[in-house]
This record gives sequence, structure tokens and C-alpha cells, in this order.
Amino acid sequence: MKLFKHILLTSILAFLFAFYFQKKFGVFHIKPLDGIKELAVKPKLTLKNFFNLHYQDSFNLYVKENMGFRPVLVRTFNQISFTLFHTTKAPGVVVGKNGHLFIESYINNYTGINFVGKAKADRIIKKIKTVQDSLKRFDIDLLIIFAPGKASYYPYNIPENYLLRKKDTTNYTYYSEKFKKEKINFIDFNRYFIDHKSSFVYPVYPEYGTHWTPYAYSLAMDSILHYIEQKRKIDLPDFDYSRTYLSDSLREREYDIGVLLNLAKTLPHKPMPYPDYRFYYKNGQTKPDVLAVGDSYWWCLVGDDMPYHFFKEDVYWFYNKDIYKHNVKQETSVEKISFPNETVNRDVIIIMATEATFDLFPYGFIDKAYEVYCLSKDEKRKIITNKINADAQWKESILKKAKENNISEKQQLDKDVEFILTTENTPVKSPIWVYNAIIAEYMEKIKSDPNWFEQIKQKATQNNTAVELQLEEDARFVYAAEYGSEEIKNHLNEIRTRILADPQWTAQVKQKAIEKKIRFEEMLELDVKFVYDTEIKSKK
Amino acid sequence: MVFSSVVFLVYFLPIFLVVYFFTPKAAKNYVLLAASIFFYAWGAPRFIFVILATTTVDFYFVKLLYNAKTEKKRRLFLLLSLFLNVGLLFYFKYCNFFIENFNAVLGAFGSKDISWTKVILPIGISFYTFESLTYVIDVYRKVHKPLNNFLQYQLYIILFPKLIAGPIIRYHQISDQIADRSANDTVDNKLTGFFRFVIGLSKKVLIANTMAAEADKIFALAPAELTTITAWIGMLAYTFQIYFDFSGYSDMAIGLGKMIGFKFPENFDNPYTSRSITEFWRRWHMTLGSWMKNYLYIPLGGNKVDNKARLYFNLWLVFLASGFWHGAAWTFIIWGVYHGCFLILERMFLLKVFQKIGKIPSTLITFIIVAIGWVFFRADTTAQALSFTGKLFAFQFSAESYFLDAEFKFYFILAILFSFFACFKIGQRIQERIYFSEYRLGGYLAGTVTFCFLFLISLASITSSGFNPFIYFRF
Repeated sequence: MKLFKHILLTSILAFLFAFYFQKKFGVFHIKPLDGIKELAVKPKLTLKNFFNLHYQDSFNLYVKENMGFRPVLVRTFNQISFTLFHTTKAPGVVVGKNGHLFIESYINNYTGINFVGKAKADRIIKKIKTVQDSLKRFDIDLLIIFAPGKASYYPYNIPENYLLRKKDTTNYTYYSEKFKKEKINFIDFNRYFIDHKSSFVYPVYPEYGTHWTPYAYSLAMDSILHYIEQKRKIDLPDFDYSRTYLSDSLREREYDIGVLLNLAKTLPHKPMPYPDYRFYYKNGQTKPDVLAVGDSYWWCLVGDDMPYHFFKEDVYWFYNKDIYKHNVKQETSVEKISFPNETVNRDVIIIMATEATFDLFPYGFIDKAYEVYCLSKDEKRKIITNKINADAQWKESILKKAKENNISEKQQLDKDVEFILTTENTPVKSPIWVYNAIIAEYMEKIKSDPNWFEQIKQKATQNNTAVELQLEEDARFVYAAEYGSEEIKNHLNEIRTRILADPQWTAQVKQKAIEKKIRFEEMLELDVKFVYDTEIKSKK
Repeated sequence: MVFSSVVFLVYFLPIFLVVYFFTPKAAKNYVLLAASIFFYAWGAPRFIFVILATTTVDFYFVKLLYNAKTEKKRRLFLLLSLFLNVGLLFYFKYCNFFIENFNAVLGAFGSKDISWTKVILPIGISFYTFESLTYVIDVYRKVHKPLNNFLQYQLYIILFPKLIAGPIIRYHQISDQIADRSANDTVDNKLTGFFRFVIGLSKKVLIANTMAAEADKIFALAPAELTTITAWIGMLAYTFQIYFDFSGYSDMAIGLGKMIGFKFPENFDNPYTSRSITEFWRRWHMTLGSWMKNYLYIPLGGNKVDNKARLYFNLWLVFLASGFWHGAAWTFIIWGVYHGCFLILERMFLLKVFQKIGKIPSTLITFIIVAIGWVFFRADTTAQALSFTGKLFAFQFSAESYFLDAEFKFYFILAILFSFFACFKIGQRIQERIYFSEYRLGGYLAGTVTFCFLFLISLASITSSGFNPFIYFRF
């Protein structure tokens, strides 16, 4: 009997040690928890950080997150909580009715809990209208899109305690009503999807996913393309998404909330619709230059290559912070690039917002666009001056430069303000005809090479597209390869800036434009390219 | 370090137990002392030196007291030791409070504040100071001889299972065990000690933490958002939080002590089954009650005073001190006075009323009185406490009902069950069976499996969330 008790005691000690041994030796391979970016690292022990308790706090966190068998324990505990109590510990996740999961911010926007207030909303709407009109002068169409929201689409699946808090005015109701009144270019997919619910063949939302299904965003993309075609009076390439298959194997996006729950087993789910896309190009069709700004709903379209097939460039500013080109995050970010240069040559700028982020809309983009496109030069000078005066380091550099240049601080400040105004706050559009002229040169270059042109014809047949369209695409590709890299673009921008900052040089460009009987902008671009080619040649 | 942390459960505890169990008997106290010093230093690296220094000074003061030839000298050393211990407690715990209030008075008269840098409170100071006092007073009263071995004295004070939140163990209750605990060092005690530890861990992590999350939400509501129903839910949630938190910790301390051969006194005996406040204080934090009785109430005269006014005053004073012991804030003082007043009322007539009305009504009324008292204990300010208490009886109801999730409701029911099941004979029998009786072989096996499973659930709960508060830690 005593031996048996000792065996039990030994078992308990072995049990207590099991977690340490698993962490140390990794005897069992255990799938890590989902939704965790980085686990805490083991801190370094020093006398200082021991005495100020930093070591203990960091070590506690390290042990908690890296403990052996932790994923198993967490999944088991979460499964018990979910099965027995229909709750989850995952932050921001709401377990709804009929097996639906929501992200709380959707519900908060639906119920109006985080309504930004009429005063703030009115300011934003007014700015959007002004920006829309200003951009139009540069032949740019601003388009606001409200994607559908899971909470709005399935309000009957929201838990009662949230619905009790519903207010009369929400971000969505206020913005959508005002956009229509102010004649702001606006596509309301939220309303559209709710109104046509009964007509949809496939689910618009997965039960355990945040985002719309591929079926839903295919419908939306189709509408966006038609809108742009009507607005710009152009014909865009077409696509066919009628061939849709249902699959039990969900892609990550269709289970992205389910994954956050970290349950012991996958939740039973309905099959999801996945269209089999076909893209078509005909003669005369064009790909406009479209910049998309928005939250992760636009990402769904990017994930299926839609912007790549329909627009000149697949460029997307995620929350107006990170830049993605063809789904690759760029090293630079929105705050580091030249806002006027990156926007002025667009045909369409789309700002897409979802129910989850109506309170963050329009992500700071309109404020910046307003500053660049709507303010007078004097107003811009005032803003830049205030920015410099508010930055102690910047002010110090002004003082230093003034001493070096032997001018007063005010004179140096004015000089710097003027430089920033010209280079960072003044949009100068390279008209399409300038760019097209350069592309036309490349197309002639390809045509004059029989072998190259034969390759183009073969490619056109393979891609089921017109020869002229394939020729233009390849010409753009070659131009982009020679002049399209970030480094080269930055160099071209720098040269353009140099010219514009030098009044004498600018005057020379104007004179040449008059002599050649072309526009100033066209001459400027030709000179920029010339200077670049010369500088590169001389380096070689 | 707290018992309900991953570091303790997965690192400290298994390593300590293995080292301790395999250490020869002669060296066990050294291992235990080293582990205790490490345990305290982990959470309070600066204050370990304070506790080591004060135990050193205290030990030699008490030795001098014991060896003093005259009563005058004995009293001198007693006063010196009291001054040191109470002085340090006063400095670390109460200086901030007195300076703040003094500055408030100065401010009311338009005078300038006294400038003062806030002092940080060493963890567990209230507990180990009281234990130090029992040592010096028990030696002075000749209840027990002092320890010859300085390390044994340090071990008595710094013993980690009970160091930071009790039970408050009087010196004579443990003195023999420090020297020799081979009688309790059995495999049965090791097993049942583990079971008791896990019971405490589960009470704290599963029930107390769930109650705490809701209590915190409700106590953080603005007065305008607080309805009568919400106030009652908040009050009850905190009532169960504090019980399961503190009794859970005591269970863990007692269980750990048992595993290493110590028999610690019980600290809780189903306090919410009490039929009067008098009975409540015989069941709640029993070691504090015992300390107050032996070292404050009885020296003041206890029940043997000449007149009732003096008796009531003594009672009131002891509970004022109890409230103040819990925290340096007016809310704790009011809480202590509140209980003192009810004790006086019971002495006057209330006890007879409780006896007359029967078991269930008296239990319910006592429970509500205690629960209302906890509002003062929990509130951040007196104003908040009064406002909250007002809401309890304001009969303000709202169409928008306060939402309680299924998990809270489940643990709330469990809390009620475990708080009151000892009202019934079957509950008492189950409790006796699990806590105090000897197990049969099958019982040990079932216990090992059950409590390992509960340990896993508790550990899973801790590692799944960041919410793991512990109330009595701050005392």
C-alpha cells in the first residue's frame, strides 16, 4: 500500500515536470497556436533588471507563452468554454447565434456604439466632396465604396446583449445618406447585398470568416468595373465567374475567425463557393490606372489577382499606411512617398471601407489629399511652416543651414518651405499623352524588329487577346523594366524636383516647349528622361 | 511569485519538491529556507533585505529579552522589538495614508502640503509582521522558549507557503514542527497536501477569477450606468471573489505546508454559512481573528471588563484595527467599524433575534450584511462605496438589462453551491471526507487522477488568459 502511494506521488511529480520536459526536449510535436505573431523571448538576467522586476515580468511572460503543452492546454480549455458556454477568450471575437462568429468592431459599427459623431462626420464628408471636385480637375475620379458588413447582413445572428445597445444613427447610415445628398461618387454594397439577399445563389459570408466570400466579391468587382467604365467612358477587360464550385476545404480567409478561437477541433461548416475565373481582353479595351486605399476587404480581390487583370497596376495602400504592389509589401510606406507624385497620374482612386472600420474611414487619405489638392499655396505654406516650427530638430537644422548659407533664419525657413511646397505638396500631372507618346515609341521599336513582333503575335494568340493590346502591354512592360523600378522612379522624381526647384531651368523647359509646340508637362517629362539617361551613361 | 502563476506551478514547485523530498532530513530546513528566500526575492528583490535584517535584529532582541534578569529589561526589549516591527509596518504601510490626510487637513486651512515621496509596500508585510509580534510576545509571556537556532527563526518568518498571505501562524503553533516534523512527513500527507493545493488553485483560478472579471466591470461603471440589479450582481460577484480568492490561497498554503511536513492552522470554515457576524468572525480569516483576540482584545481586557461600554469599545477598537490592518484607506477603516458595530449590536440584542428567526433567515441576513460590508472593502473611495450601497436599495431598474454570459452564471452557481453546501449535513460530510479524513487506496488513486485533471484545467485557464488578479497579495 505504501509502495502504491509512493508510485502515485512519483506520478504527480512526473506530471508536474512534464511541462518543463516538453519545453526542453520537444518530445511531442504540437501545432502552435494560431493568431500569435511572436512568442516572448527568454530575457537576459542582469542585476539591474532583476532588482527593477523587469526580468521577472519578462520571464513570467516567456514561461507562460512558451510552456510545454501550452497549445494543447489552450485549445482544450477554449473548446470546453466554447462547447459548454458558447464563449471565447479570443479578444474582439463574438460568438453569435446559429453558429456565426463576428469580429466585435463590425457589431459596434452596426449598433452605432462607435459612431464618430455628426460634427466629425460632416467635416469628413465636406472634405471628401472638395477633394472629389479637385481631383476631377486633374481628370481623376474619386470613388468611395462601402463593402457589405457581416453584422448588417446577419443582424439576427448578433447576440441580444449587443442588439439592446443599438442606436438610431450609425457611421454607415450617416455617411451613406450624406454621400448621396452631396453627390459623392459612392457604391453602397452594404445596401445592395442586403436588398438582394434572396437572389444570391451562394453564401455571401462564411460562418467563421471575417470577409466576404469569393462569390460575393466577384459580384462586387463586376459592379465596380461597370461603374468605372460608365464614369470614364472606357471599356475594361471582362471576366467570367459563372463557373463556381462549392468546396468543403476552406481557404484560410473563410475560417479566419474560427482560427482565432484556437479550438481543439475544426468547427463544422457549410461548403464555400469558389469561382473559376476567366479573364478576356478585346481590341480597344484599356486598363485604367487605379489606386485602391482601404482595409482588408480589398485584399480579397488582390488575392484573386483581379486588380492585376483589370487595372494598369495592382497597387493598394492598406489602411493608407503600407503599400502593396501585386500583393507584395513594399519596403517604403505611404508616409515616406511623394503623395502628389503617387496620386496625380491616376485615373481612379478608390477608397473602400468596411463595417469593421467605418469609424476609421477614410484612414487619413482624404486629409492628405485635401492638403495637396484643395488648399491654396499660402495655406500650404502656413501648414508646412507650422510643422517645421513644431519640430525642434527640424528648426535646429534650419538654423544651421541659415548660418552655412549666410542668410537669416526667416529666409532659410521660407526657402525650405518653398522647396517642400514644390516637391511634396504640388501635384504635377504627366498627361496621358506624354506617357502614351513614350509607350508609342517603344511599340514602334518592337514593330521594327520582325522577330520580336512575331513573338508578340504568338503571345497574343496564347493569351486570347488582340495583337495591338499585347504589343502595348509588352511595350509598357519593357518601359517599366527600364524605368519602372522604385529606384529609377525615385531618381526621375528627384530630377523632376531639381528642374522645378530651379527657376532658370524651368524657364528653359518652358521655352523649349513653346519652340516645339508641345505642352510644358510633355517637355518636362522628355527632359527628365533625357537627364536621367545622360546621368546613367556618364556613370557607366 | 504567486502560487497561481505558470512560473511557480511549472518551474518552482516541481523543482523544489524533488530537491526537498530527496534532501536528507538534517538539511531540509536549509533547502526550505533557501527556497523561501528565493521565492520572496523573486517578487520583492529589494525588500528581501528588509525582511532578512528585521528577522536578524528581532531574533537577537528576543534572545536578549529571554535572558534578561529584570522585568524592566524584559519590557525594554519587548518594546524595542514591538517598536521595530510595528514601526516598520507603520512606515511602509501607513505613512502614505497619514501624510495624505494630513496634507488634506493642511489644504483645508490653506497651508502648504508636506512634501513626501510615496513609499512602496513590501509584499506580505502585514502577515509576517504579525507573526514576528507573536514570537516576541509569546516569549515575553513565557508561553514558549525562543529558538536557539537563528536559521530556524528565519524559516518561521520566511516560510514561503504562508509568507505573503498567511495563514498567520502563531509561533508556538509551529515551533516544534520547525525543529522536527518527521511525524507529519508522510506520503499520505504529501498526497493529500497536493490535493488540497489543487483545490485551492481551482477555487482561485476558476471561480475567483471569473467573479473578479465581472466585479471589476461593474465597479468600474459610472454611477449613472449602475442599476439596482447590476449593483447586486457586482456586490455578490465580489463577495464570492474575495472568499474563493483568499480561501483558495489559504488552501494552497495549507496544502503546500502539508506536502513538506507542516500542519498549518485552518483559516476558513465556511464563513458564509454563519448565522451571525460573531459566528462569521469565528469562520473567516480565523488566524487573524485569533491573533486579534490573543494580542489585542484580551490585553485590552477581553470579555472580563467591568462594564458593557468598555466591552463594546474594545470590540469596536479591535475591528477598527482589523479594518486598518487590511489597508491604509478610509474604506477599510469603515469596513472594520461596520463589522464592529454589528458585533456590538449582536451583543446587545441582535444575536437573540438571529437565534429566534431560525437558521435560514439568519444565515441569509448575515450573508447580506457581510456582502454589503465588502462593498466598502472593494470600493476605491468612500464616496464610491456610499454611492454603490445606495444603488443596492434604490430600486432603479433599466429596460437594458446587464448581460451575464453563461460562463459567469455557471461559476456563480458553483460559488453559491460551495459557499453554502456546508449548511447541510451531506455537504459537511463531503467536506470532512475530502479535507480531513484519511483516504483509502482507491481514494488516493481517484484523487490523484481528479486533482491532476483539475490542475490541468487551472493551468490551462491561467495560460489562456492574462487576467489573474490576487487580492490579499497587496497586504
